[in-house]
Amino acid sequence: MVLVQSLLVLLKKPLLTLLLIIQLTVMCLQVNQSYTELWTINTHVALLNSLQTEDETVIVVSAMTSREELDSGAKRSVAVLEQLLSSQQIIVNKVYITGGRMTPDDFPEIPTQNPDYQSTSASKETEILISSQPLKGDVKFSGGGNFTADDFNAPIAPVILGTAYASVHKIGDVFEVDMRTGGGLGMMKVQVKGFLEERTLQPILTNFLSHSTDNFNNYFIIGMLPTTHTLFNAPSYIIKTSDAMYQQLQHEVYQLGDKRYTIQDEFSYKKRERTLLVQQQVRGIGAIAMYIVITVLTYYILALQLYQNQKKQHKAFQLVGATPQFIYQYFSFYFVLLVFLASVSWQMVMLYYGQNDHFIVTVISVGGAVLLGVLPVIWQMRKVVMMRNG
Amino acid sequence: MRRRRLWQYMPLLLALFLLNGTTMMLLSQLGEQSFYLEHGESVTNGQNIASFQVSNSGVLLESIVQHREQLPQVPFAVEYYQNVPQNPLIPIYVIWQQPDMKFTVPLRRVLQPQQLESGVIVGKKVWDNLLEVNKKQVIINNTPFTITAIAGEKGVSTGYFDEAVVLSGESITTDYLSRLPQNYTGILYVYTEQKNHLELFASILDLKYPAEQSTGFSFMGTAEQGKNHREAIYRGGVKRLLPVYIIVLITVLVLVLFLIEQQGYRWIVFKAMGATNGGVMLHIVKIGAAIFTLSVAVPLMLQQVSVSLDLIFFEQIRVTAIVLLQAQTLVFVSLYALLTTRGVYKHQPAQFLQAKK
Repeated sequence: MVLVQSLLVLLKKPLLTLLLIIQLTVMCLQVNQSYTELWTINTHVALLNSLQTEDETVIVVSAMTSREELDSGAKRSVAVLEQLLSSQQIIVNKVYITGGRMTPDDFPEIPTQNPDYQSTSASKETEILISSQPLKGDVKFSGGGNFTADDFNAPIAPVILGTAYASVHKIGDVFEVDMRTGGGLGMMKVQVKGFLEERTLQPILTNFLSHSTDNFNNYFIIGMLPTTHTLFNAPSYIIKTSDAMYQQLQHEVYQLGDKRYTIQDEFSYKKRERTLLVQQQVRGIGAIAMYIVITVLTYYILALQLYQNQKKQHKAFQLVGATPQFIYQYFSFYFVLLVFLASVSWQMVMLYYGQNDHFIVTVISVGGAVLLGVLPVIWQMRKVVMMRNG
Repeated sequence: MRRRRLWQYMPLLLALFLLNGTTMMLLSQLGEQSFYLEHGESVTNGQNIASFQVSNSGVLLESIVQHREQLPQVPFAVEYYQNVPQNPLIPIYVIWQQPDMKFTVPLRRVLQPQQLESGVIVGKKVWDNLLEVNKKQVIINNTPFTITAIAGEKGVSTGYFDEAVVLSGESITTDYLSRLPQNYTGILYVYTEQKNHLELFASILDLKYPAEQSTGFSFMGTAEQGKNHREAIYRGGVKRLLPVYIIVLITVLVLVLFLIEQQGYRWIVFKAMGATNGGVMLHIVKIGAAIFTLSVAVPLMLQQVSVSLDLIFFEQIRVTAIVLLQAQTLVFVSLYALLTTRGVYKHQPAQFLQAKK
């Protein structure tokens, strides 16, 4: 009976019902979008909160190889650069950058917003760093640990991965990576040694890692001693440092007079995003608050209107023996039905766009706002009905 | 009694405030690109300039400093990106002025009028991010610069120079150049239309000729990219605020209908007590006028306060946009007045009482 009466009220004014369903559907879409934005912002903020100082960044110093050096296979002379780096108060991770491909079973899903990296992800390719020594600096692991001296002599090369790989591999797993095209190192068996914590500024970061995901969860670092392969002719030096030191290093390298060194800041663009994101965060929270205020206002007035319009009908209901509970139950159920219909219509829109995030929190927010608007009227109604009975 | 009568209209007034507030936000969002464009163009008062894009701004600056004397005596500027304390990767404009011809930057506040030419101008957002210790002197590339002015405009959050630093080319030293970031793209703007000047710039600095033409500074140099950027902001603004507008619009509609229905009997009672149709209508028009005035005036006052305090809630809007606010409010107030008047004419007290019996 409660349902029937609620439906009757709903159908009595179809235009109003339609308008309210449209409004609640748009409201759900908007609130859901605001939550999605806030969640994304939190990911970035978490990463930036891992910074120890405000001007912390990671830079990569590389020695470029000339065409002649490449053709002759000659080793790029980096003695002067290494001497310079060792004279500074900095921790340097020396790596060789290459690439590789995995089988679909070994490659996790790495969602990326950046279209430039969607193709590499689709072809199960990734950037691979080769380190000939344990990783230095404040490396944070979510599982396993760093390379040890013994690892470099082991028959199977150890690998430290980003947390994305934890969905397909666990510590100790052995799998094969195809490095024939990327680095020309052939098929290589690797054993999982550890997982690097995501959303953290690790002392290892490259342009690829920095731009391919927001979470920094796709590291692939193989522990291996250098061979005579040309890949090992041109190392890169990764330094977690301050902006002041970054500028100082540029100056020092500039002073060397050799123009074939590049120094790239790989993290500052993330910090730049942060200032914009903080504004978005304020706007996102403000938007949710505004939607809630509008909903409360609309539904308070609507409930009040409905209550006043239905007064005579309520009296008639009581005359034919309806309990007071029935009256405010059907009254409340009318609004529950509205929220339900709006949720269904919102979900249909979401399914059309292939998204379905934050369902519960959105329904709680919008439904809660409707309840907040309706509750004072139901409370008032309850008191009046009780007084009448009394 | 009067106060109670006023309270009846409060929900509608509140909803109209929200509607007009949302409209103002929508309009200011849409106005952002025009402010952005205006600020970019105001550097040359809308006159044509040429721009060259380079892949390494550090190399370009170094080359300019090296060949400064050989370059034509016209104003020119280099735009590139680098870290500034508390402001990662922001655009830096290094400007070489001429006494008779200058680039002009919109200034929100002048701090050191005497040193305006020699110091550094920081955008208002850059200024907000700077720590107190850096608000007098900011160190960029190991070189201390006195902050002489704040660029930007009150009530505009997307001014062209809000997130930029402007400094004089004459203050660039070799030490500064040695600390520049590498491989960052840059743009050289040359304030001249003379072909021979541009050819000289291109040949001395090893730039790709011909240069692009634009009316003032534009986003990342090309007018096309600037247009895309503005379109992106426009789309973003519409996408974000249009649903809010729909939500508020429905609320206002529901409230207007509610008010008409709720007050139906009231007019009948008025008429039963001897009021004429004309008298009731006059009363409705008076209420409508009060709602109209309040619902337009209050958001506009809030907007003015927000603009004068440079808050992000409401920003500058064009005067013509106020007409839209008035028009939409008028539509709702007219809807209310017309439907109410219809009710007044439709129901006669005698008929009503008969029906009630």
